[in-house]
Amino acid sequence: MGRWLRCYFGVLRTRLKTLSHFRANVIAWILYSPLQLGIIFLLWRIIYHNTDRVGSFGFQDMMLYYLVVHFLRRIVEPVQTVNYEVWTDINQGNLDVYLARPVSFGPFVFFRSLGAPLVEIAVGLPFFLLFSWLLGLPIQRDPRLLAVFLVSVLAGFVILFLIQFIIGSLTFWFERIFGIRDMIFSVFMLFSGQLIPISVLPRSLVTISRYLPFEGIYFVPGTIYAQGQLGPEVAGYLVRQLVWIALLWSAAALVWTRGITRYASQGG
Amino acid sequence: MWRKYSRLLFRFVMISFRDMSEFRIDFFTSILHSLIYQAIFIVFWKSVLSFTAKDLGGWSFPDLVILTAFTLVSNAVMQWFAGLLQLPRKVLKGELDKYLSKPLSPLFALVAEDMNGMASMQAMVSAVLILGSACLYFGVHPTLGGILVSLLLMVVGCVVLLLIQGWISMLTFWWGDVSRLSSLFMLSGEFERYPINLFPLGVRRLLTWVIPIGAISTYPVLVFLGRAESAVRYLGIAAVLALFWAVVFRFSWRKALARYEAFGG
Repeated sequence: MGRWLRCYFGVLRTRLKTLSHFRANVIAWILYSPLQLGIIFLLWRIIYHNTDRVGSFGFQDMMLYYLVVHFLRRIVEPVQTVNYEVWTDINQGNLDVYLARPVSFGPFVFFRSLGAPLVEIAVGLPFFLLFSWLLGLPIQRDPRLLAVFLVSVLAGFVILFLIQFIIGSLTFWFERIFGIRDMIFSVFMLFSGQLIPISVLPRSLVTISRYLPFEGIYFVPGTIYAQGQLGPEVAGYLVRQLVWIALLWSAAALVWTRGITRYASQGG
Repeated sequence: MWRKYSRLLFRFVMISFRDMSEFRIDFFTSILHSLIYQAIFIVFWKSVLSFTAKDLGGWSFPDLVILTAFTLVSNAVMQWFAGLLQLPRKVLKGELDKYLSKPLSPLFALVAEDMNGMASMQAMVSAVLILGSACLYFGVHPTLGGILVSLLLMVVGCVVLLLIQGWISMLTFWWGDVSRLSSLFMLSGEFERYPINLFPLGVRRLLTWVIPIGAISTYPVLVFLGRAESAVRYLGIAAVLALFWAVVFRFSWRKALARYEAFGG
């Protein structure tokens, strides 16, 4: 177990060093949040000039929701490149290297994708607290709520990773997967609550979103934090996330085991 | 010289089309993606406007749909210059040698090699589909002059933004990897989706004079809808900025090339 962990944490450490190497990039990274939140703030201030409430959201509620989602996006979004990494590894024959080594490709990619989110948490958390303070938004302190929130964030991360991994694994059949990926992620953008809270969408779309895994990525953790209270509704959210993880995990395993039999390369 | 470059350009365009059309499923799903992606922003405006008054600071739902479609037009123009975004990676990996050792402008080769002709066409087809449907459905009747001037303004605006983007990519020669700096610049492009004349004066000026996002979205749409205060003024500002950034770009490119070094390959 110790050797297993050392192996995968070594991958994680290397990734962290790569990410913090260039200073211009680090500075740009730090400035990204204020700029993006600034755009959201300006836009919604204009919208709230014309109304007091959008759905059940007042201006402050909306800002808190977007702040949490923004923070989550910073943590979770680096995993969006997983499909491309898997596509590259399969298409360029790099997969040979992993197949010849005593590692499982899935966990390897998972740990490799954990590096950037950890840096994002370190950079994003101070900004999250700073923006909460600047905008006068509540900071949740209930340890039980924070624990549930963290579990939900982790579940959201795993859901997105599995979706990405499945899309990447489709390379075994389609060679080029970017059209499918982009299409799925357009739908994802709407139904994950990234663009606008799902509850504000037209009713038919809210119903559709209940049958998709995307709401577990941003909307569920965002709502748990923004609502600030635990209850049966939150338990329901968590159960739905776990069910989606189980389903996607099975799908990923199936796609991988079927796909790998189609894999061929010239070796190297 | 012009004949040689035209011939080469034609070849690169053909390669770009063949490269993308090789995967047919991907070709059609990409068009579908463009349409779905824009539809999502239309749903966004629909959702927002259902909670506010009839319009948003003078921008009605049809206007916002047209604004959304216009982002595809600028995207179609930008796709031809996607090679500029590859510059940081190529400099860091020493791949620029390939272009420097050929008897043609390295900048031309760099841009021409990564032109996304097919992606541009997909974006343009989607834009025309949405714009055409929106004009028919909502009864918007733009004049031919309005269409042409709005397109011209958009192209000049795209040139300015591309020059700035290229200049930022060029900083790789001095600072190493600047991909996140590029992402930061592209993030300001999110303003493209919103009517910038609703924002506070300072932001409006910034997005008109410094990072002229307005020239590729809000202003062309106002010209298209026949509601622009002065199309000539917008065009003038965009042309001055294009000239300024062209000079900066040319000067920096020369300095950058003088600084470049690699192990060769």
